Amino acid sequence: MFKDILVPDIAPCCEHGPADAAIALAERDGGHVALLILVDVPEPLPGQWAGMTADVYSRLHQEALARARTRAEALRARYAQATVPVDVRIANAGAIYPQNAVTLHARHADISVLPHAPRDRPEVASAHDLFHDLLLHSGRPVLVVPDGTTLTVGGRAVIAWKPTREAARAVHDALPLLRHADAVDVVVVDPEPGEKSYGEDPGADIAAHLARHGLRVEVVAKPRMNFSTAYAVLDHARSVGAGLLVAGGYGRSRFREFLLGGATRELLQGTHLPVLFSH
Amino acid sequence: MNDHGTKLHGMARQPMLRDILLPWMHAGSERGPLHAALALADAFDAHVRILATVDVPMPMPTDWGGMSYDLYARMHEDAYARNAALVARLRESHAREGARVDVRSTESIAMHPAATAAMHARYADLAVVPTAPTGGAQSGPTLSGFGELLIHGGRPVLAVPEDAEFAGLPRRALIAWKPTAQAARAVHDALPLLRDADTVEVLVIDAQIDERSHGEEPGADIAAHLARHGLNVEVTTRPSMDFSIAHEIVKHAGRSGAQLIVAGGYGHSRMREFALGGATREFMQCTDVPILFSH
Repeated sequence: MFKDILVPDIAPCCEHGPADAAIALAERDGGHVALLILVDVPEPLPGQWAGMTADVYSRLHQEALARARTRAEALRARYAQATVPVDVRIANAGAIYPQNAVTLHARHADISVLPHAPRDRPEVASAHDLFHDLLLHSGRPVLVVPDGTTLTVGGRAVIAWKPTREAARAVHDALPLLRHADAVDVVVVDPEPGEKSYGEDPGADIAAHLARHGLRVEVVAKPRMNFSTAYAVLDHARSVGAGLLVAGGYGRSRFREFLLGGATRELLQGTHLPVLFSH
Repeated sequence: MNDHGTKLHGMARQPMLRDILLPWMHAGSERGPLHAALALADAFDAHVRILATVDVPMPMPTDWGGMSYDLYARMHEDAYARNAALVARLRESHAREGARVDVRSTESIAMHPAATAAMHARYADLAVVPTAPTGGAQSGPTLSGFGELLIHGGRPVLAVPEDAEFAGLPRRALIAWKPTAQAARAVHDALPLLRDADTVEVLVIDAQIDERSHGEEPGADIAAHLARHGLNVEVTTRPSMDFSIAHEIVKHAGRSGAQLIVAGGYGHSRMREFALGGATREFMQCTDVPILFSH
């Protein structure tokens, strides 16, 4: 059940899509939504010429805090009449990276919700970094809501199934949502049968498991053809009018660099519907 | 709104276990895990799959030459015969549980049996394994099998001591809390098991009070979150003193009468070897209470 849902406010990106999706999720389970505003203060690093003076630093901090407070007031006013309790918090990240503050908050929630914007928007970089951080380091699922889409909790859901730990986690993390779906398609793309991968009947084992959880499941095998796995999955989701996609999120971090798996990156960039990822 | 209807609907949404995997690890201490799996199956009306894996040795050339075909074929036959006997014995002893328990025989050719178990864990809700007491006959292989399941299975692993009495869902549980991804996952994976608990104690050892880790009031944020899930939560903070953190937590569980510990499981895989985190390994070696780990 989703009792606590975290929405980092990466204003002005994508406005209210993620918050609205979070409210739709919370409505189902009597949950709470927390909108988290970050006070993003530049680190007081010494420059080439000298350190930043305490005076300048404290003024930057005051300004950022004032901006965050104004934003909080606006959000509180907007969600005062929401159907579920919406709590607006300010994370005074101080000297830690803002993503780390969000990740820490996410570990105390059931799920985080993030926007996804087209690539030409300047704030996409921060949304992308945040996605990576939450996916790899929060230990919780991340729901990505593309700009201009809304989350439909009923309807048909699609699972991009591979017999990996990431996909297994995504499926189990998504159960509270999948339970509301009318039908669930388990999509396997060019599955190789065998004990070492999909088993003798690809998709059958996970479908039987999900059926025991009370879901109405169908296994759909799709060819990759000349396209990518992500494309084949999204194409299926589009053709059946799915309202939610569930997928393993692959990636690793090297130093401060983030590497997302190819299929994960493609799903993220190409999706036209909300996607729940787990790592 | 109809109160009765709402309540029923609410119950149907409770997190549940439907499939429990018990990989047979030949540790000689399967009694505890088996009892726990069956007790959980009763509590959730779930299904237990016992996975008996034919462990076929790899035909590795040694310094003295390759293994003869004949010898390899005989080892193969032996492994299959042993597995068939195990499967027959398990099926017979669980015959009266009917469809509730099934024994699945699988091969793991050119693959470590624990890797096969991790594969099967991915379409279960939980895997159950024995703990690995220091000096136990199979303690090394049990630890490495546990590591593989923990790190590659993607599902929580319940480690049960051989002589643990797992009578059903715990009435009192202890969460070893650290604000890490692994602990966050363990807490959420444990929610179905905490359903009947009267008290869930969040134990924070050696809390660091700052906004990067435990926050201003260690344990308070996770306690508030768990309370929203309907749990009755108590927070305790303790110093580890001169003991290891794992020993301190197990001792605390003994004192407070907790029947289950929930903890993040740490480790990473290096080539074909597992480096389990120090505390996770110690937990596996010293606990007399079942522990639910997630990675």
